[in-house]
Amino acid sequence: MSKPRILIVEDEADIRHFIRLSLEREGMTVHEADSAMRARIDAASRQPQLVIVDLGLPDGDGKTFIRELRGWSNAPVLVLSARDHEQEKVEALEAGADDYLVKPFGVPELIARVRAQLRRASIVAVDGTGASAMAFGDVRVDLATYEVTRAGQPVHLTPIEFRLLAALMRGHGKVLTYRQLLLDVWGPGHAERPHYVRVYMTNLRQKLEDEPARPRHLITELQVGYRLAGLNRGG
Amino acid sequence: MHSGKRTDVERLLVCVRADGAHERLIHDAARLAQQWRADWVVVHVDEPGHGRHVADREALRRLAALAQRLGASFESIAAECVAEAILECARVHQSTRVVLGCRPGRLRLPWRPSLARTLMAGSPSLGVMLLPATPAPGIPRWRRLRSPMRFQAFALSLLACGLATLAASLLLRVFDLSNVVMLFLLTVVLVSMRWGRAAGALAALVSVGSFDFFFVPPIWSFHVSDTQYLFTFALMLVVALVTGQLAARLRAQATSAIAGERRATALARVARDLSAAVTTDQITHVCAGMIAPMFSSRGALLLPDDSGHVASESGFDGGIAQWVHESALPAGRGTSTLAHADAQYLPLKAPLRTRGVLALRPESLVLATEPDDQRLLDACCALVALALERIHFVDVARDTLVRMQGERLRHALLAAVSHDLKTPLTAIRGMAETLESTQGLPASERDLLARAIHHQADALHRLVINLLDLARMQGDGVRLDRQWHAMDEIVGAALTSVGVVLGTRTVRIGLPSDLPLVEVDATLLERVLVNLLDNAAKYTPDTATVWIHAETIGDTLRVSVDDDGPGLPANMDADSLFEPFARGVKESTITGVGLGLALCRTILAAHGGIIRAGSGPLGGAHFEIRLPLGTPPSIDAESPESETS
Repeated sequence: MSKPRILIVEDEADIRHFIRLSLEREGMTVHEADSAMRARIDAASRQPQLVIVDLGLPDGDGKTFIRELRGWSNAPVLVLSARDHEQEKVEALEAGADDYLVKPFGVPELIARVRAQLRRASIVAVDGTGASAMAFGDVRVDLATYEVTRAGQPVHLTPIEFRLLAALMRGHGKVLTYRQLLLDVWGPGHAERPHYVRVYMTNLRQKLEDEPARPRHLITELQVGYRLAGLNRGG
Repeated sequence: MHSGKRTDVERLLVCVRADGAHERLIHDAARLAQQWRADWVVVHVDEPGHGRHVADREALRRLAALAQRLGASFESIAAECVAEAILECARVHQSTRVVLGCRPGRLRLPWRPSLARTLMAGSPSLGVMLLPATPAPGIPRWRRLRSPMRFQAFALSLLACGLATLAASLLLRVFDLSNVVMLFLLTVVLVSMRWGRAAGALAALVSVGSFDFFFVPPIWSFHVSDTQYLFTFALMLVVALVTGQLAARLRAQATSAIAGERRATALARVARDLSAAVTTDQITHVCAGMIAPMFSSRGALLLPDDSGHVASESGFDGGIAQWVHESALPAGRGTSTLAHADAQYLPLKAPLRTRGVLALRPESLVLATEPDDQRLLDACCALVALALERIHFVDVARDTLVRMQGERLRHALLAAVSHDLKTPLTAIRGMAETLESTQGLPASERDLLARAIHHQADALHRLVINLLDLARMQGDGVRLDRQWHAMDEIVGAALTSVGVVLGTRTVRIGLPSDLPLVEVDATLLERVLVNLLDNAAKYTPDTATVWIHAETIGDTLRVSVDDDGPGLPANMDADSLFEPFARGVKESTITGVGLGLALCRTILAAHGGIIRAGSGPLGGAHFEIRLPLGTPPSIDAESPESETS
């Protein structure tokens, strides 16, 4: 397997530097861009398998770059953003980003996210829309037969709970915003009712998590959306 | 040009009568005062029994308005003796000259000295000037007697004389004729007291006539057989006239004293209520509820806003009020400006500036035309203006105090923050420099240093977040992004944020599965929980247990964070923990200015909730949040038949 190619778009040299060092130590090839213009060129010429984008670029909006990139590439995009800008994160995710990290972030966290996104991309690439049977933790789900078991015991889910779980699983660890989930599960009429998602996610956590307030798989991204962590193929 | 008490400046005292003729006198005096650059005062001496007529009062009011418009102050003083009153007034005002009006060709009783002569005799240093006062083309004096009041008084006094005659004819059977004279005298005194001087004089004449006609022989004739009765008649007439006039004067004085007393009481009441007022609303209340009824009017206090725009009130003309406020001159009814308006607008002139406008709309068609009433109104206006100015400065003082406290707080914050920022920065820098030269540094030491830098940076990060949040919350207008959230998500997010800080401490969570959604700013509420958990991590040993509980109590949500650590310091007021920079353990090595709890309280307050600290059942610290529960939005239920299994 060849070395994964990563493109870092970040105007701060020190941050670029330590990201590069940590990723190269993990055996990845890293390209750096310090502006949106440079990033467009590098994204086209280097064909990266994952792009890390800082939203505050000196010569333009990171979100615009993500939207352009999505026009021709499926490479996962990891966004770096400042705290207190929930709306910005949501916009970046809806523009096509897959995950985000809040500054300041730790190196282990960065590497974990990068690895998760690379793995997700390879799964999607191999299976197309993905396999029908998947598992996370001790929960097994068959999207084709609607069967859900936890530690071997069948779990009863309502249709909406199941559709919500399925939407998260199709995301393969991508952060899905409230709006994306509402459109996917409830349809366009419910796009402005995020409390629907919260209520059903609470139900799902109570049915599928050991400790609902400290979930290990159905992760809450406060004010942004949800992410399903630790998804494996097969069932 | 302010003259103060300088002696080289002319000061004029202009004496006027309640007579339209004296308008010219005031104009002339104004010109003189302008030429000499003199201060001038216009004074009217209110003699008992004089100037009670409506036309007189109207004339006086116009004179007062004219004088004030031309820059003089106007005074009306009640006194028995005109000359004495003027001299007294001149002394008070340190006047150098007295200006009197004289009417050429007026008849003067030869035995009465002129006013000018009396004044010069009373104060030789005083210059007395006589200026012509041409008669007004108004109603001649004698015509005024025809007013219905006067006519009624004369009829009644005639009736009284008739009754006295009847009573005397009955008494004559018992008493002597000389006693009958006394009865007539009594009648004259009573009539004078009741209906005034003119009626008293009439009664005196009629009484003498009646005595002559009915009782002095020959009876039924004005002829007198005994000449000594002529002496009786003369004596009787003089005594009747004198006692009658005295009685009338006494009564007039009493009436004026009562009216003065009434005004003084009213003014005292207004002054008392205004001095007790601490808000503008109370002053408005005094104006509408107390001052306006004194003048049988409906009143409103029209106050300017910060930009000087006078608030309009229904029933009053905002344009006039604005003009009055800006020009500081009265307008509307009963004044010389816009006299056809149906309300009177008076500027409230305080020492520094005009503070507003008092508008009075009379309930009947007559407005306070009595000069005394006008003066009372002026006094009320001055009181209201002073009260408004006082409240204005109370507000200014309060604002200044708040700003000073804010300033002091900011200084304390800066001092505390700079300490708490510099400590980790120093550590980070020192450790990083140590790492720069790896020579002679064992690998284990290097790892320790790197980890310490990491921890210091985390601590710095938390401090900065709290600082930023606190600054944001205390900036102008906190904007909460309130949405309906599930409590377990916020608790979960807080636990993720705290992360490794809790170390090996056990966290136990007790959240009922049926907790309702709460409408909060999730990011801020997460900060509250993060700070509470952070505190637990700072002040408890590694082996401690932390509990997070939530439950609904009535219409509130209670979230508590407990630990089994050492608890709050025993000598510390739990409430003061939430003051910025309070810290249980003084000057410890634990960083974080105690901003955290202050931030928690600010956030809870913005949500309409509270946060409390205390001791838990295990002796550890106990923090409790209470949030009001609203009505969560409805969720469309799923139809059960479509469920999958």
